[in-house]
Amino acid sequence: MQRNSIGKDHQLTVRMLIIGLMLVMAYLALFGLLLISGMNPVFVFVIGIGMVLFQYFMSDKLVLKTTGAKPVTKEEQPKLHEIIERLSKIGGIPKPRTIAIMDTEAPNAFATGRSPKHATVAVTQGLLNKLNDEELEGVIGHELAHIKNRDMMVMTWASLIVVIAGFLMQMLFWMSLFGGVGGHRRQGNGGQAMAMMMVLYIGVIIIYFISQLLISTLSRYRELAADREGAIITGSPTNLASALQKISGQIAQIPEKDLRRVEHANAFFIIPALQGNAIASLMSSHPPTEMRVARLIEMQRHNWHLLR
Amino acid sequence: MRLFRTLFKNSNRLGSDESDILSTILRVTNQSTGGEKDINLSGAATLLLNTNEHPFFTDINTSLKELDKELFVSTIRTPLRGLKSDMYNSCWIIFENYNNQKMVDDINSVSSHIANLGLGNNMTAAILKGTIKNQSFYWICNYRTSKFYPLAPLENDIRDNELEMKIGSLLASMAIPLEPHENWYSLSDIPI
Repeated sequence: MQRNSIGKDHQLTVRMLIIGLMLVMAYLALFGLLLISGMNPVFVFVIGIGMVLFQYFMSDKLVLKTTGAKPVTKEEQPKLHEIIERLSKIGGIPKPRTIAIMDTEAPNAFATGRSPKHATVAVTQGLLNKLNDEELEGVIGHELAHIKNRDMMVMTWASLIVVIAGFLMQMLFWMSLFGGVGGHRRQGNGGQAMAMMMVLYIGVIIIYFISQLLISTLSRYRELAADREGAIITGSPTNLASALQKISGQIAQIPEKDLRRVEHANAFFIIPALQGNAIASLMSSHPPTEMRVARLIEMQRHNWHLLR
Repeated sequence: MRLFRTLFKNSNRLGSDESDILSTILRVTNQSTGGEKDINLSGAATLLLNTNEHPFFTDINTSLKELDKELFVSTIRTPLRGLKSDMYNSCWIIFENYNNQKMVDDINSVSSHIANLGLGNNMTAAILKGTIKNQSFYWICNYRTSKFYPLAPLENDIRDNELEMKIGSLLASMAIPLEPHENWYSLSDIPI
């Protein structure tokens, strides 16, 4: 019992299953709603799946483009490559194809790619500067766990419903604008169609928000699972715990600019340099840091290493 | 005390004697006794100045020789030494091999002299070398804000932020005016 509860967090698995079931129900509700209102669900789903597939296959390239992450070779970043190579081996996944660095001070990292064979791991320069080697391992372990757990795939497909509902919401909005004019003129049957359209519209909005909520909950559970898996890969939950405290806490506010440069740019310190706030927005799909740290420390306290 | 009286005479920043932060540091380090609070000065400091191409700084070593003659005729000590750092167009005045009390007195004399020349606005920071439980760090005293922050450089411009945070909370508990974290700017190539 003890051993099992350490290797896999059953409670977390059950919770993910419940969220998964609720998502399936949301899909069924959407499907039913479309059938009742006389729209062709197959047509709508095909469009949605098309959009998701595009995202799925292009994600690694798109993400590198939008974040400005630059791939680095083993010669340029031997330490980073060495850590990723070693931890991938321990985790039983191939070494990610692309390893990249973003030239920003805010400490952060991400993993993407549709499968372990097409994975990308990127870290910011700020992360490399602020963390020591053990903490960096903790973060890399977490990102590799995302790859191992195929979170990119899970989350992309889970968000299919949000994509479809969002697309329907827009479509119905425009249809109600134009269809609305015709409906007023015709009365009778037209009025009924109008009412049906309103029901569909409201139903889609409700499904959209509920599935959005379900997906961010699922995302937080996947984060906790990756924290756990990552800790098993690195062999030390406290590495990630200490890294998380560093990158989300006050240390993240400490600037790296030289005092003399600031003195030149802004002689009287009237405008405080903008720092650190960018992280908060990226973390919103994540559980609160205190919770993640507490769980990691809890993991360390139990004899979790018996499992290795 | 003299330093900050002179420097901040016109800027409404001067309050009580507590505004003399160099003396505050000296007092705190003299009080600190072993254990967690084992925090010290190590007899070396430097003043960081923004030259603005003023002749006093561009020919800093001649200026300091003059200053030595003028201010420290009777004292036996290492003559003041200056360094020009070109990247940021700034210069350092170096105080080394000192008794801590004497060092703080001399920094005050030199700074008030510079301020009297009308160059108070050129002073960026006083940097004092210190140790905490045998780990070395710098006390950075920002002249613009008259507050302190700790700086603990490791190699390659990387800093030990954790140690800095530790020192910061210790300093705050000793009622030293501390810069907010977002003003803990880096300083590379400190010559002491």
